[in-house]
Amino acid sequence: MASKDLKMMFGIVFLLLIALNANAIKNTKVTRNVQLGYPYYLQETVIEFTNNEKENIHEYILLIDKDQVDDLVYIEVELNKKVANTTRDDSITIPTEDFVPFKVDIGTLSSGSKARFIVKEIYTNKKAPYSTTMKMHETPKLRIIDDAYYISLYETEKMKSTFECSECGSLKATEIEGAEARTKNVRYGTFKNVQPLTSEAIYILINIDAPQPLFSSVKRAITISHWSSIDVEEEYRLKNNIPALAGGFSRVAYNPHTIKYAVTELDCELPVDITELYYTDEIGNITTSNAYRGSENVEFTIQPRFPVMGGWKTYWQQGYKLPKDSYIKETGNPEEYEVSLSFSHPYDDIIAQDFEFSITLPEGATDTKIDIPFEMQSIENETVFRYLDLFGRQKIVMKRRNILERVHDKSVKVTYRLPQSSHLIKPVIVVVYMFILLFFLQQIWRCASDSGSKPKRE
Amino acid sequence: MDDKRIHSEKSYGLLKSFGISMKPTIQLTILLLVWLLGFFIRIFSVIRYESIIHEFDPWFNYRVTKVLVEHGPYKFWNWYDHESWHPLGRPVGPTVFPGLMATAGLFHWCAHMIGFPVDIRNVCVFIAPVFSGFCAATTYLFAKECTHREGPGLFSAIFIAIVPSYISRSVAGSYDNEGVSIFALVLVFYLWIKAVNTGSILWAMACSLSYFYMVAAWGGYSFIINIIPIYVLGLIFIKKFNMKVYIAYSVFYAMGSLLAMQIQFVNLAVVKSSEHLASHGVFFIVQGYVLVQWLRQKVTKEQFEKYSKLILTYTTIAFALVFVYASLTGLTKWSGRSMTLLDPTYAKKYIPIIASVSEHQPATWSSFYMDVNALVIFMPIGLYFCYIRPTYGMLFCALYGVFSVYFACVMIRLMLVFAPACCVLAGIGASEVVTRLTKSLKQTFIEENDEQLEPIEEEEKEASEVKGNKKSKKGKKGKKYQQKKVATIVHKYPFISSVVLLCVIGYILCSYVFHSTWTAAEAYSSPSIIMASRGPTGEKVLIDDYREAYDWIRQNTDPADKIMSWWDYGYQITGMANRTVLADGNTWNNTHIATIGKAFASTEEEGYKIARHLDADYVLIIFGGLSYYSGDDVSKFIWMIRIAQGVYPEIVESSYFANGQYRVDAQATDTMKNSLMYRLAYHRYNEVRMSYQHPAGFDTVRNMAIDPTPIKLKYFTEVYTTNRWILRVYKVNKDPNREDPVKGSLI
Repeated sequence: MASKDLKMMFGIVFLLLIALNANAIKNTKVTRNVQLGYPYYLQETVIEFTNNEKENIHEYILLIDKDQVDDLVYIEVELNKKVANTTRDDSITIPTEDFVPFKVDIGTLSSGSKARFIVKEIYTNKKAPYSTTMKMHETPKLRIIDDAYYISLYETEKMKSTFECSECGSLKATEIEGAEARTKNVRYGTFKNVQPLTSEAIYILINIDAPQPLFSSVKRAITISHWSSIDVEEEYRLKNNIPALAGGFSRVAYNPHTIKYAVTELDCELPVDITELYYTDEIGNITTSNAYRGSENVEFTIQPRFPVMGGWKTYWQQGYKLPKDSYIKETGNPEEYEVSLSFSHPYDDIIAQDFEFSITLPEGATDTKIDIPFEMQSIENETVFRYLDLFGRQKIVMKRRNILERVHDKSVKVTYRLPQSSHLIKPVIVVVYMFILLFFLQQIWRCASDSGSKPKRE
Repeated sequence: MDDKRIHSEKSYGLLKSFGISMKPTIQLTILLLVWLLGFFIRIFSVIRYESIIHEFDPWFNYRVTKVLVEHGPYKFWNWYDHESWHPLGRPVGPTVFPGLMATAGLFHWCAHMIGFPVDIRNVCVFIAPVFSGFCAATTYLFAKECTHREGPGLFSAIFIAIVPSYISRSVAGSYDNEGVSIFALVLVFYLWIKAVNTGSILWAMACSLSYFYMVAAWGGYSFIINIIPIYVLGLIFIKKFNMKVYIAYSVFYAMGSLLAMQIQFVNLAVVKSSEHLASHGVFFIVQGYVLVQWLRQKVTKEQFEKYSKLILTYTTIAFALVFVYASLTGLTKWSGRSMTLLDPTYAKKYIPIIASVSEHQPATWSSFYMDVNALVIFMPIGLYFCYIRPTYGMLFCALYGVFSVYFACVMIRLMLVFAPACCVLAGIGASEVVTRLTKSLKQTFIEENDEQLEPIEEEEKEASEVKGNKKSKKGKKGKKYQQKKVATIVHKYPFISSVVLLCVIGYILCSYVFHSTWTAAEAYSSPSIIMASRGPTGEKVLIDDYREAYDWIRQNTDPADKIMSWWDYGYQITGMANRTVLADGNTWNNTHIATIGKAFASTEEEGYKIARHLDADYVLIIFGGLSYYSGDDVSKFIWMIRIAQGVYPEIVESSYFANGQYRVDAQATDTMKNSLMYRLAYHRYNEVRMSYQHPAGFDTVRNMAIDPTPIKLKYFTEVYTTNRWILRVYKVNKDPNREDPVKGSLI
C-alpha cells in the first residue's frame, strides 16, 4: 500500500475516532513477539494502557484481521495473572471493515489508572509453503504475510514487534525503516506515537528443516457402555504443509537422518488405564507403533506407513478402551451418571482444522446434559445402532474448527439418566435368542429323528 | 474262575449299556469338538497376523461383497465395474460366481438383524473357518450315509477338519470361493447318496438345491456334473442300476440343470459347454436303458434282441455324429482349464496365461504328502474296503477318490477336490482297521466265544443292498437289527500285534494332527501381502511393503488415476489402493494382458507409448532383489514375455536369454537390459550396497550383481519405493519434452 493512501486513510480514521470518542484508552507500550518455529503461528503481545477518560472503563477492544479470523485457533487475554473474558462482539461499531472486534472484559479501570495484559493468539494457515514444489534434497521454504505493526484501535506510544524462529535455517523479512534483521529473528520498531490502525504489510521467508504437520480433519468418537467399557476411536487425516515434493522420490536419496522435513513419527500421551490400543487404517493394521505404559500415562508412538513428504497425505485410525468403573461416576441423584473425558485429540502441537467430537450414550439414556468448555459450531443428535440394540442409542455430534491440544485440552462432562431396568434389556435379549435357537434345534432334532430316512443302523 | 468271569461280564455289560446310552451324546460332543477344532485351527492367521483379507482373488471378492452389502443385490447384479480392465471395464454381475458374496451378505444381514452390527470385513475373514466347521459336519453325514456307520463318519470329520489341503484355502482371511464350495461339494455328494439310497424325490431335490448353491459358488461344480453321470453310467455297466438311482438322477439332472442356468455366469453353458455333455448324454442313456428294461418285460426275447441291436447302433451313430458336428462347428467347446485337465500339456502348448499360474501346475508327490500327509496311508485301505463291500455309497466314494486323484495330479489347485475324497476314504480305512483291532482286543479280555459270528456275514448283508434291492425295507431293517445283536466279534488277531498296530496307527494319527497344526500355523496362514521374517536377534519382523505402497497410492494419487501393473496385483490395487487398473486376476482378455506384457518387454520408449496408449498414469512393479523376495516381477517377466509373444510376434523370448540363461547382470542381452521391466526394477539399484560382502547392485533373488551402467529414466519418474524396495511406483511422464511447472507434483 502506498504511504500517501495510508496517510489519507489515517486522517479519515482519526476523524472517525474522535467522533467515536474511542481514544479514551491510550496504549503506553505494546510489545509483540511472534514464534515461527512451531507448526502453528504463535503471537504473544504485552499491552500496557491507560484510561484517559473521566469515567471508569470496563472493556478493551482487540482487532483481528477479518481474513484471518477463521484461522484463529485460540485467543487468550491474561490480566493480573487471570484469564480475562474475551469474546467476539460484532455489534461493536469500529471505523474499519477489515477487522473484527473482540471485547476484553477488564473489570473496572478508573480514570487515569494504568493496566497491563498479555494477549496470546494462535493461528493456523498463516505459515504457507513459499513455492508450490520443491526437490527432495532442498530445505522447505515457508512464507508469512504479516504486519510490522500491532494493529490497534487505540493510539500507541511505543510499539515493537519481534519475529523469532530459533529452529529455522534462515529468516528473511521485508526491510522497512526501523527493522533490524538477524539470522533467526527480526525486529520491527520501536515505533513511537503510532496512530490507531497503522499498518504496514511485511513478508517473512523462512527456511525450516522440520515437518509442518497439520490435521485436515480429526474425528474423535466416544462410545459409553455400561456393559463393557468406554470405547474411544479417533480418525486422522494428516498432511505435511510444506512445498509439494517434485521430481520424484528416491529410496536411494531418502535417509531419515538427513531428510528431516518428512513426518516419520508422531507421539502422544494417552490415559494410563487404557486397554486394547490399536492403530489401523482402511486396509488393516499399521505395524509400526510402540506404546509404553508409564506411571502417569501411556506413551504412544506411531509411524505412518510411509514418510509423509511435502504435500503428501496420510490417514489412520487409533483407538482404545477405558475401564468403565473409573470413568462412569454416579452423581448422587438416583439413576444419574456422569462421564468426564478430554475433548481434544492427544497430539500436542498439531492443529486439527476440522474437528468432530461425538459421544454415544448407552441405550435408554435420557435427560442428557453436556458441558463443553468451548463454543461449538454445530451440535447434532443422531441415533445409532450397536450391539443388541432395540431402539438405538443417542449420539451427539459436535463440530468445531481449529483445535489444538496444547490449548484445548479441557474435559467434556456428560450427565445422563439411565434407568436400572434398561441394564436388563441386553441379558433378556440374549436369553430370548438362546431360547429361540434351542427351540429350533429341538424341532429340527425331532423332525430328523421322526423321519424314516435316518440311518437305520442304531 | 467262573465267578470272576460272570463278574467281568456283568461289569462289561454295564459299561456297554452305559456306552450305548451315551453314544449320541459322545458323538455329538466329538462332532462339536471337531467343529471347534476346524474353526480354531484356521484362526492362526488372525493371531499371527491380523484380521485381514488374504492374497489376490479374495480382495476382489471382498470388494464385490462390499458393493452387495452397501448397495443391495440389484446394484450388485447390474454393477459395471469401471475400476478394472480400463478402458474396457467389466460387468461384474454376469461374470462372477455370486454364491460366496451372497453367503457373506446373508450372514452380515442376519447378524445386523439380530442386533450384532459386525463389520463386513470380519464376516468375510471368518466365513471360511465357519464353513469348514459345516464341512466337517457334512462329511460326517456323507461318510455315515456311505458306510451306514458312525465310526468312519467321525474319522472323516476330524480328518477333513484339519486336512492341510483344505486349510490352505480356508484359513481366516482366505475369502475365496473354495472356502464355501468344499462344504457345498460334500453336501451335494451326501444328498446324492441319500437320494440314491432312499430313491426319494425329496432328497434328490435337496441334492439339486445344494448343487445350485455349488454352481453359484464355484466353477468346480463341473466336477460334480461329470462325476455323478459317470457314477450312474458305471452302475449301469456293473448292472447295479435300479429305480432309486433312476429317480435320483432324473430329478437331479432336470432340476439341477435348470437351476444352474439361473446363475448368470453359467447360463446357457449348461447346454452349450462340453463340460455338461456327460450329464445330458447319461440322462438320455438312462431313459433309454429304463425304456429298454420296460420293453424287455413286454416283448419276447428274440424281438427284444433285434430291437436292441437296432436301437443301439443308431443311437451310437447319432451320438457320434452330434458330437463330431458340435465339436467341429464349435457349437460346444471345452474351456482352456478343462482341456488342461484332459491333456495336462495343453496349457503349456497353447495358453501360457493358464500355465503361468502356479496353482495350475501339476502336483508333485511332495505336495500330496504336504497336503494330506498320513491320509495317503489310510486312503488305499479305505479304497480296498470300498471294493470288497460295495454299497452304493462305497462305490461312489471309490469312484470319487479315483477321479479326484487324477485331477489333483494334473492341477495342484484341484487338490482341494481330492481332499474330501481322501478324508472319507481314509476315514473308512482308519475306522475299519481300528474297529477290527479293538474288537479283537476286546475279545481277548472278554471271551464271548459263544456269540461269535463271522463278520463277513455283516459285510455281505450290506453288500446285498447293492445286489438285491427287491427286499422290502422293513425286512432289511429287522434282519439288520438281528444282525447287530449277534455280530460283536471279528477275527482275532494276536494280542501283541493288535496293540502294536494300534499304537502305530495312533502315532500316525497324532503325527497327522501335528503336521496339520504346523501347516496351519506356519505354511498356510500367511496373508501373502504381509510377510513375516526373523530379525537378527530372533524377533518377529513384519514386512508390510505391499500395504505401504498401496496406501501411498490411495492417499497421494488422484482418484481418477490409472495404475498399470502385471495382472496379479490388479485385485489388490483396486481393493487396497482404490484405483483403476488395466488388468486383474479375472484374466478374460488375453490381448489386453499381452499388451501390458509387451509394454514391459519393450524398450522404455516403446513401453511409454503403450502406457500412454493404455492411458496409464502410474506403473507399479514388484521387485524382490533387495529383500530375498523371489515371487517378484523380474521372476514373472518370463511369463510376461511368453504371453506377449503369443499376441505380438515381434517379442521374441530367446532374445531375452543370454546363451539360454535368464540373466540380469552385465552379461544379459541388450534386449533384456533395455526392457522397461529391467529398467524400472533396477532403476538406481546399482547405487545400493547391501553389505561389504556384496557388490553394489546385488540382486539376492537372481544371485548376481546387476549391470553397473546407471539407468536414467526418460519417460518415467520414480514417485515412491517402499522401505524394502519390494514395490516401486513410477509416474508416467505426461509430456517429457516440455517443462511443466507442476511436473511431478503429486497433488
